[in-house]
Amino acid sequence: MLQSAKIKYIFPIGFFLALFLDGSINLVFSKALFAYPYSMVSNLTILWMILAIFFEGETKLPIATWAAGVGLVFDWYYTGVFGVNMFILPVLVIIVQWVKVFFKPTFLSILLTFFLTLTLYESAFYIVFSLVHYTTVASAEFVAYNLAPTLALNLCFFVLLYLPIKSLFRHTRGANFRSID
Amino acid sequence: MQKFFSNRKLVIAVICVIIAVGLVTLSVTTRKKSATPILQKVGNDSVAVVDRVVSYPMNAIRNTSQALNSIINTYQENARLKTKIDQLEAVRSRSQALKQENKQLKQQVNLKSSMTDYKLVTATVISRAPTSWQNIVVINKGTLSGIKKNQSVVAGEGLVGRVIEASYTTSKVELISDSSDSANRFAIQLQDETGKTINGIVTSFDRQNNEIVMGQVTSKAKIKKGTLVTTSGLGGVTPKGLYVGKVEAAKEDSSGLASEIYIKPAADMSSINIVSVAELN
Repeated sequence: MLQSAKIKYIFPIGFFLALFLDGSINLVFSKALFAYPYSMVSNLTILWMILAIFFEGETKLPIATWAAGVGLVFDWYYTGVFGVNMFILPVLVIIVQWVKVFFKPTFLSILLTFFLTLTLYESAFYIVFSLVHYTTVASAEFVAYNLAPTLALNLCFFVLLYLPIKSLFRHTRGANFRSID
Repeated sequence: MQKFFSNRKLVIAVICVIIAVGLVTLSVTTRKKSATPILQKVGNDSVAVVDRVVSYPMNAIRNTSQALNSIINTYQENARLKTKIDQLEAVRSRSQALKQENKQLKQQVNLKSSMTDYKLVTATVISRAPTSWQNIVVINKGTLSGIKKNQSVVAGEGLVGRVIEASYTTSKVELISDSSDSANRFAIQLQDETGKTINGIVTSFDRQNNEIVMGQVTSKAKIKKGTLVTTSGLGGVTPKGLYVGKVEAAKEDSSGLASEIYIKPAADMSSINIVSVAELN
């Protein structure tokens, strides 16, 4: 018997929740996260996106479309510069979806994909902002003080949230596909 | 021809890139204007409603932990503050007398309002943008409370930044620790040892030491460490007399022609919860 896939509704809600939680976490823990010169930000949005791509099973969620929507809200609400996340996020989704068929989705391989995607995301975001001169952080400084701490923090989040999110997806993506890893 | 157009993905990709570049350019040009477009304001406010709901439990956690923290420090803090209160009373009465005198003098010379006439609107920070190299916070007051673009923002003791986008009930504030080219430069001033005023602007932010840099100072006067730095009101956007910080060091810049003054900011830029927006009368 085919259960209706609740994840179709849970996924977008979780996506936006992650977006707002990012802003909130950055504010609540700002003392620890923005200890100059280091600054790290939580990127639960990317984490949710990557895990969804791997755990969607055969539910086939419209992840790229939702990513564009979340990107638009991000640009609108947080930075006020449109057309940045709105395009970077869906492009990342397409790249990861294309890459994921080449390897088995194990904990380590997903971790690595997340690591690379986050690096790509942060760098692309940073490059666009330095092109329009909205930041003058030098690229060497960016790697040492922003990118590395951000990656470290988000890998911790990944390790903590991997199993809960995995079981959430497994239990909500429809009964027929539970057998698939 | 047939083959080129059959490659739809390429065409779509190129169109997307063009749209992205167009949107970014549009945003950058609208940021330079004096007001935020209505559509953007409405969007900001409606997103903020959702954000407030999501961040409510997080803020509850923050408030509880802060309360617990302050209970631990209460005894020592109380003893320290008691000694300060007496001094403050003296300063307050003097400031009141000076204010009165200032008002009378202004009346005599028919000066309606000057750069020191401002009122503060208090707002709470509701979110911090998840971008590590650009420091933007969202506050819960907007144009309905009289906040306008480019107004200066103060947190606790000192200057922290400037409003870059004002919606109806929310605003975005760019912190002074953002040393981007487009960040508006604050006009600041300080007194040298002989009492002469040195004017300058905030040129950058030294992330390594968490210090504000006042560059291109041509005056060769000696500046004492610990001198108070305030906004100068030059330029007509920032009120005069907002506290910025204390001088940490004065060094020659790399060209050797001018000097750079390093200022320890009075406000803690890494954790900002409640801010006040300075509105010029």
